[in-house]
Amino acid sequence: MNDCEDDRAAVRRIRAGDDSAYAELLARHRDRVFSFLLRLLGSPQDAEDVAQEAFVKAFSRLDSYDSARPFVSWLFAVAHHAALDFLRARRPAALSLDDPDGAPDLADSGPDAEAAAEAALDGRLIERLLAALPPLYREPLMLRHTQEMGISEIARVLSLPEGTVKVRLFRGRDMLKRKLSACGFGGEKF
Amino acid sequence: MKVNCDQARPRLQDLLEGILSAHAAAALKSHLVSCAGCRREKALLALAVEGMSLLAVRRPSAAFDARVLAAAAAARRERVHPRFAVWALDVAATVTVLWTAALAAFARPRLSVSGALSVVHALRHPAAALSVLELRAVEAGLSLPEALRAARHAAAVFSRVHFIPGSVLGVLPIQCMAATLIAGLAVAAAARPRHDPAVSRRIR
Repeated sequence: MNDCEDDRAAVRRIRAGDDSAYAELLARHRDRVFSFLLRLLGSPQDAEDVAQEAFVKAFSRLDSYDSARPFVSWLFAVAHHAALDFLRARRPAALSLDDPDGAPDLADSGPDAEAAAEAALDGRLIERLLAALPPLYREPLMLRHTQEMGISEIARVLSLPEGTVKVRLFRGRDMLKRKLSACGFGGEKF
Repeated sequence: MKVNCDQARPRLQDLLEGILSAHAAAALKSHLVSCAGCRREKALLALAVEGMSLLAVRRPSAAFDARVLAAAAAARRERVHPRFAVWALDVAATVTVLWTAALAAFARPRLSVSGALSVVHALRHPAAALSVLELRAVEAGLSLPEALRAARHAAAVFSRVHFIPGSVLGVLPIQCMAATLIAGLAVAAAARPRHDPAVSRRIR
């Protein structure tokens, strides 16, 4: 069985009254949801709080999950909305994941950090460059390239039209490319 | 078909995603063979995409699972309460029906069967209580204010027995109130048997 079918089986067991399946779903998706939220919110404590909120909400609303769709994209939609609620509660007037200037202070991502980047591309450098992108571009990029979701799936998770998702992916990749170029990638030896 | 740099660069991402038609992909690749600038752009984009696969999976603290499972279990317990309330309401309705049936059988004046049914209806559908009250008033040949006064008076006696099962089982006071008022009216109507056959026919 693949993950998708395992998830559906676990949901069926929960609906049949088997509470042990909650732990199974949690173990399967905990790290990817936490990683996603950590890169979105920037703080491990906030990410953990919001991940907890997302799982509890998801587990309490399993009745509304449509088994015809992948569980993971439904779970990420719940996590996305939990992150939105969290950010609105923290900075009600100013912040939204759709605000290009509303990026939380995530990692050290200024020009100095870029200049100090090592010549070899590694996860830490990409982490810093990704954190420097506004959340509205960072979020679809993570769903596409770390969760390997398709455009329509991302559109459902973010409650956005597919065209908007495509535009954000395009701009996000373009911004990341420019940052890599500013770090010295793409030179003569490239 | 030949493409220039301005046409090629916006399509580089589509090429990497594999969503270009075979024809468009061939034209773009042909351009890339001869254009170092676009090759560099494509390589940087590919690096950005591949780079994201280097992102490490991060893990929450060791206590995370236990916290989530405990919070989820607590949320489930909270959700049980509305079900309990519905169950309690059903029990209270049953008890009320039994009380009403007993009163219909033994009380003086007697509560009619339709009066007892009105009580049950009002208990299950409190929003409809007023229309039931109005119906009973017409049936009793009273205006609504008269009916309310009579019902209030009868309900004062009735409430002593009606509220006991409701309050013990935690039924919403409004539902007990509606049921009691209707029952009181039914008793009041039974005490004034001034049925106009024409009115009764209209009601039916």
